[in-house]
Amino acid sequence: MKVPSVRRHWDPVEFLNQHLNRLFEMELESHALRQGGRFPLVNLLQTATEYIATVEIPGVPLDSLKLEVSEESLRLSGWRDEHQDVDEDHIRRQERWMGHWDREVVFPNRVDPESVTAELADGVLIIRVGKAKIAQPREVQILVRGRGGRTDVPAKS
Amino acid sequence: MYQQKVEERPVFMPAVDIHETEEGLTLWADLPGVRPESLEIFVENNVLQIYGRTRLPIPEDAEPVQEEYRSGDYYRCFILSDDYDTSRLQARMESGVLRLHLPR
Repeated sequence: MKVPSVRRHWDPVEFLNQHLNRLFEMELESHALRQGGRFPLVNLLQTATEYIATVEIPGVPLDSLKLEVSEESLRLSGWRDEHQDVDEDHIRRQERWMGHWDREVVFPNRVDPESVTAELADGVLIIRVGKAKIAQPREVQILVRGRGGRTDVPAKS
Repeated sequence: MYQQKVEERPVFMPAVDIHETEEGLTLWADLPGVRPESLEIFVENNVLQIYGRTRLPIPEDAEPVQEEYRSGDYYRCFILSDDYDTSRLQARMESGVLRLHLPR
């Protein structure tokens, strides 16, 4: 269990100086709005050699997670428990998504399931899987015929 | 260069649950990608502010294929009623969820 810093003397001037530009551009979209009823949210990225899926699963216990990767897709399921023994009258806000979920992500090209790694940190799961060799672009050596591709043309007299 | 990238990121309102009893108030906030040391909680008078920065270990050359969410930081502010004892505020982070307790 880690404890974040708590400041008792908040200096609004210092805060504004630090964050003024960002505050003006602040898009205070609610997380619930971002989700559009889906949980969890998944982003898929790629490098030349691998796909990287980032999945936001705050508060989802590790032992509830199940990840399967095939050559075409990945499938991830888990659950997040609802608050226990809560009197309905005490609930002021209930915005966080609870319950069982199941997501599938199809890769644009084939992957090598043997190469998958998955790491969970601060409520974000990062899944990395190598692209199948056939899906990776190959650099091709270009051969030149003749004398380095340059031919001297003898000058006519 | 990296710093610049961070500054340009949007800020989102985290989803929260709040339970209030005679004893006090408990708040849970979803802050995926926020490390405990990147979270700041400001309490002054009866204003509670939560500000969390995210950073993911993604290679710089990675490009998006499909995006269901945009990466950004989190900010949310609450006005508290006068009867809370902010000097006894308790906060902890566990797997991307902030749990904050304020007794009356």
